[in-house]
Amino acid sequence: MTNEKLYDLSMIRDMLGEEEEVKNMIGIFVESTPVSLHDMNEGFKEDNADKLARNAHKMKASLDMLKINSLYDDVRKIDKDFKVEDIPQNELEEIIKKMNSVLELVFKKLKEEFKL
Amino acid sequence: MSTFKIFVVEDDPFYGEMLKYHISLNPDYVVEKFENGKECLNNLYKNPAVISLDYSLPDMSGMEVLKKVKEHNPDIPVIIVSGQEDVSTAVKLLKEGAYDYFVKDDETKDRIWNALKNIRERLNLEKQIDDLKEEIGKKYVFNNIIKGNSKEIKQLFNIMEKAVGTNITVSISGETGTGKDLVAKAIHYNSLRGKYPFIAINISAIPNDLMESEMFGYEKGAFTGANTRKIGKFEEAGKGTIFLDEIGEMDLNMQAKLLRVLQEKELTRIGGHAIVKVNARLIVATHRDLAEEVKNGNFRQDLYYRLLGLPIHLPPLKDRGNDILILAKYFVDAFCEENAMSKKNLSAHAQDKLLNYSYPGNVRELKAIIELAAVMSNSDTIDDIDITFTSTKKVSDFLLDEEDTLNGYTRKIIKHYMDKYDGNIMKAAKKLDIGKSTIYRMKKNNEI
Repeated sequence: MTNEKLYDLSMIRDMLGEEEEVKNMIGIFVESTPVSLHDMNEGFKEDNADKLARNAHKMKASLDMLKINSLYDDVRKIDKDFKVEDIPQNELEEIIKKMNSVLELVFKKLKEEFKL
Repeated sequence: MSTFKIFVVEDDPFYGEMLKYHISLNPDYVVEKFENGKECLNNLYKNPAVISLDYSLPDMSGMEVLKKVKEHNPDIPVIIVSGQEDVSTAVKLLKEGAYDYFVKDDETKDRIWNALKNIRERLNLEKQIDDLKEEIGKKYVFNNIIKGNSKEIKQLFNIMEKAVGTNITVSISGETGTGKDLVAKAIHYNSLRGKYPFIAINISAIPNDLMESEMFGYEKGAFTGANTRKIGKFEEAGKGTIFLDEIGEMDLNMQAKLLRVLQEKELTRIGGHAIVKVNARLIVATHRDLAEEVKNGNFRQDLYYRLLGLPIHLPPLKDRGNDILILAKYFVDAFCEENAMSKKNLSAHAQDKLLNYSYPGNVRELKAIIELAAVMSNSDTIDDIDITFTSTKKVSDFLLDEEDTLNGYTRKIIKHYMDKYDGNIMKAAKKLDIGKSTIYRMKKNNEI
């Protein structure tokens, strides 16, 4: 993880062009994605596989768009396409922990970069 | 181009906002974003042109939303945008009527952009087709295509109304130039079949050898030169109307084949085995007396009765009295407008001359006469000297048209020479070697 780029905004910059628009859009990301992350965590704590998977699925496209590649495989493992019940509990716990730490760092760095 | 309303239904606010921004780059697109299925369904009254729908929504699945959208309006194209790469889900959604299915990845924005462009182009083309169909429909409103207010024309409109309201086969008879093809089109475009094709075949223009393949089509390899399958005119007409003009010219062999198709309501392409259902409405026309042709053995009696259906007879122009002047005025106005000329009137002498001619070529001939007169006229009034009758019919032709009494033949001959000499009684009397008082008397008695 440390050798990998935390995120890459090239696709978003390519789509939006204007830096002001990029800032607005990142603002929406750092505001809405923590909600999904929180709901996913709740699903994990409540042993609610559906809630957990649905929120992972909800974040998947956004994480891809920001090219948060370190989470590419993890988010897919608990996406609703897969049965989270089939993942060993300790592995699931590791994934959730990793997603939280990576995303917390992404939110922090993005807020710093865009002075949000 | 008008604005194009697009609904984006996406539960991830960031992704939804990105899609909205990207789509809104086209200033003609107005985008509304919803984060769940219910919100989208509650706003369907706003008539979106397209819906971009996320498959996984918090309150309901994309499939449920798609079905409800299609129940509301099956014509709204729904593009499914999903994080799932499951082919079977995509197939199910496409079967339910989804326009397309895109997996969320780097290419999604471009795919949506292209899909919207294609949908918009298709909708514009469909609108143009609808507008054109409406235009055609207006063009064929009865009194737009058949001018006149004679008793004969009013009766004709009544019968045409009956033809429009049913699927009955219509057989149109009348002399050349009376407008049989226009009546057929008017019946078609004013009927419920008007949105389907109108396919006309002029039987006399197709060689007998090609008639069957033209009407019923053929399979690849059915005969030398049949390199591809070709559907016939009956199939092409679909749920529309097939118009067989000059049906009296069809040879007996083909008549038997046509009869079979009409009885069975199905056909088989030449060289094929597949049965093709025939749904088209049939209208036939002829300038011949088909009953007479049956008597003479030139037309099958069983086919004659099958085709007779609702007979419509178009009266010859010479029997339509003042309709001649109504038509003449219509043709003058139309010609002047088409040629950017100032409007022209018909003088009393010109009207008199027009009313006293026999029009063997009927409405088609009157149109030609009027257009020539409009060109020849040097003022805003068309006078009798501007009108030239150009009929190619000889005395022997019209004498043999139908059997008549001696008095009838006499009237026809005198009328012919009166037409030929522009109503000049002296000239006609001299040519026929009869007293001019004879002609005056016949005119006074309305015999000519």
